[in-house]
Amino acid sequence: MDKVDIPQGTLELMILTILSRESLHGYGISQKLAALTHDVFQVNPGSLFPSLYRLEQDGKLKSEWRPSENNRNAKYNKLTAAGRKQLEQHRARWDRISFAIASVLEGA
Amino acid sequence: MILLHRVAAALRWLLRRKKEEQHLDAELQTFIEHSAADKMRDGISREEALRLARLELGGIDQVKERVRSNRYGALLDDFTRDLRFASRTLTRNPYFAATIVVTLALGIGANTAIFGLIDSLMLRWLPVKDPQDLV
Repeated sequence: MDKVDIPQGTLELMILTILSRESLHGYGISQKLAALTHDVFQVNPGSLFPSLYRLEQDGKLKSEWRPSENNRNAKYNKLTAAGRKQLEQHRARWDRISFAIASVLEGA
Repeated sequence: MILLHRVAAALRWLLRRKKEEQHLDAELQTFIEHSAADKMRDGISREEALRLARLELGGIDQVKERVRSNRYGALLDDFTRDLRFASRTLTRNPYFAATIVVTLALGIGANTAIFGLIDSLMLRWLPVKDPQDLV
């Protein structure tokens, strides 16, 4: 299937969701995203890293350097309490949006 | 609270800039290595894997620049860069700098003088009815 651009404003939601399950480094996040969406979404590192740094500056993420699965030192990103709260808000908003769109498409 | 956090983050970035840049560099390098390692597992030669991984990242410098310009403090950062650049240019050409200063000084001075004149002659009447009839 063709790749699709990630809809505006949803990258952060997906990053936060992925990081709420496990701490990951940049490459790990992009791999996870591709795997979870069956390669429909492939995040461009030029968008991923700015988002990660922004989230970190906002205190939603914390990072630490530690050896990765294949023994390279990598920067792991971890959700903070503020990040969890942000995720909840994002998620609630997204649920409303997708419900609203589905209502239109199904046109009851 | 969030504002305070952002200001602190911006300052931290400005003060520890070199270190932060090195971290970002290392982080992007590990991205390339991880990506290349995955590709080599699929049977691609190391050289080709590294080349593809770099392509996938889309240029270390471009990514770094995007991260930099997307941070809090990027505006302030640009501003201080511009200031440094301006002061360097001006100290390198002192005559040019002097010409600018004199031009600005004369321009502002002439404006002030003429406005002062017009202000007192035409704009500011005495606070009475028909001041031109006063003797």
